[in-house]
Amino acid sequence: DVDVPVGAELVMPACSPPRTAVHRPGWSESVSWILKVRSVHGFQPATAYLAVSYMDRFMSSRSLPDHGWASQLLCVACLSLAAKMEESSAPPLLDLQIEGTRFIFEPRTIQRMELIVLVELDWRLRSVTPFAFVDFFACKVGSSGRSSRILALRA
Amino acid sequence: MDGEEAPPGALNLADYAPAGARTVDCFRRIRKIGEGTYGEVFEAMDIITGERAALKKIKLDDGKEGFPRQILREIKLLKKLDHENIIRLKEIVVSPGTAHGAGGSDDYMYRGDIYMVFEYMDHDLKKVLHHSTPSQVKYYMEQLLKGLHYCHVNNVLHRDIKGANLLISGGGKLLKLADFGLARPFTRDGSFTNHVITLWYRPPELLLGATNYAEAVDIWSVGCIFAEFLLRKPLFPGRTEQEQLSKIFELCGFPNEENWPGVSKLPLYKTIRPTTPTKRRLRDIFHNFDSHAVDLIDRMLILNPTERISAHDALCAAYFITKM
Repeated sequence: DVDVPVGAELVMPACSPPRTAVHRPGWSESVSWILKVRSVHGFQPATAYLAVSYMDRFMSSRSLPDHGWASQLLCVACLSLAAKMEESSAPPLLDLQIEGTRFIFEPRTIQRMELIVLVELDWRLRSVTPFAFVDFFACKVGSSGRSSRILALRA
Repeated sequence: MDGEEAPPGALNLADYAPAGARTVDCFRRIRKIGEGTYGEVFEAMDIITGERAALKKIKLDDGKEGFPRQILREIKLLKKLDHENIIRLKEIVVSPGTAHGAGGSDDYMYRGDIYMVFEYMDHDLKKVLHHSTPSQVKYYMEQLLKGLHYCHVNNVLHRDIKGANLLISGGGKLLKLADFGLARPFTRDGSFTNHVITLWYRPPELLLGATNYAEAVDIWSVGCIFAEFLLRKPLFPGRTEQEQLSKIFELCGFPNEENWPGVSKLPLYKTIRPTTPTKRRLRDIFHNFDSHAVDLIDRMLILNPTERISAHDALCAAYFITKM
């Protein structure tokens, strides 16, 4: 038997999230909402990946109040932070809240949630995503930028 | 809009005061030392450790974008950069919440401010720019280039090198690059805004409207600072972008396809006219100075950005090898 260190699941990538995250009610809804908004705004795949990883990191150290809107607010805040980190221009907060959102939050409410997420993540937003490696290997294979984009979208 | 309004005030975040996050109450304010884009800068003392720090206050307004992107990027960069010639961001603290004392209403819990806590530095380079000895100048220039080289190796452009953003401490022994508010990561084919860098230190490619630029923009600014050290006055003190360009061309010559291939395709090239004389005469104004220093300034202030010396090559220049 291999000894698995305690907490090893934390280093697993978000595409095969820790069991606790998958079993959290609403996790897959949150992820599919993030993916839908990503495609509407044409964000890079890395943006959606980062948003999900912020969300998972937040939920691994905190729990949210038992309201439907709380996890949606977390989702919007994480996506907004990820877009600001990765995209050259991020849409206004109201334009992020599309694709079947049940609630609409005011910008200042989202900002407050963003701050809570930032503090909880200890301001560490620069997670390395697998997409950095996809680009790297795609270049090694000698493909053009286009194929690396296709690879990234399929990853 | 396809959704119901979130219940106002339902966001009971009182229980979510992030554990472990320190508030600004951990510091005793000493004095105001400056004014930034987003708020004031204070000298303060950590009440527990007694350490001095510079607190940059970031005012959060109710803007449409939520937490300001520029601040996020500055924090991201500062967390990435770890070098003795780059200012260190020690921590980020929030303004104290009012929730606990206000009978349950947390409405203003995190409205208000956050503070970026930096190591404390004695003063900025502006203060010594016009009266430093040649050996001090060499010392400052070396540290400035080392910090900048580190940025460039990490694919970060500073984009606002000037006296006020270079901080000095340790009795004039230590220089650090500060204020990364305009800095950003770059890629070889990136396209940026050209509205960066304080006018006097802004390179010709930006003044001509280039949006695809690289490390050389920072080197131009360094060249201007270096020249200002020797001359003890600003090299190109333009009042308008037009005047800034004229002052540059007066000393560096007029750009053409021969000395700067591609210059005629820059957006604002057609708006400029040659002034007389159009020949480069930059070295003439430095005829009384250390020739190695002048050589280096000459290579930093080359019009064509691709020919401008890199931070790495500048550090290998004869100027830094020869002793005073």
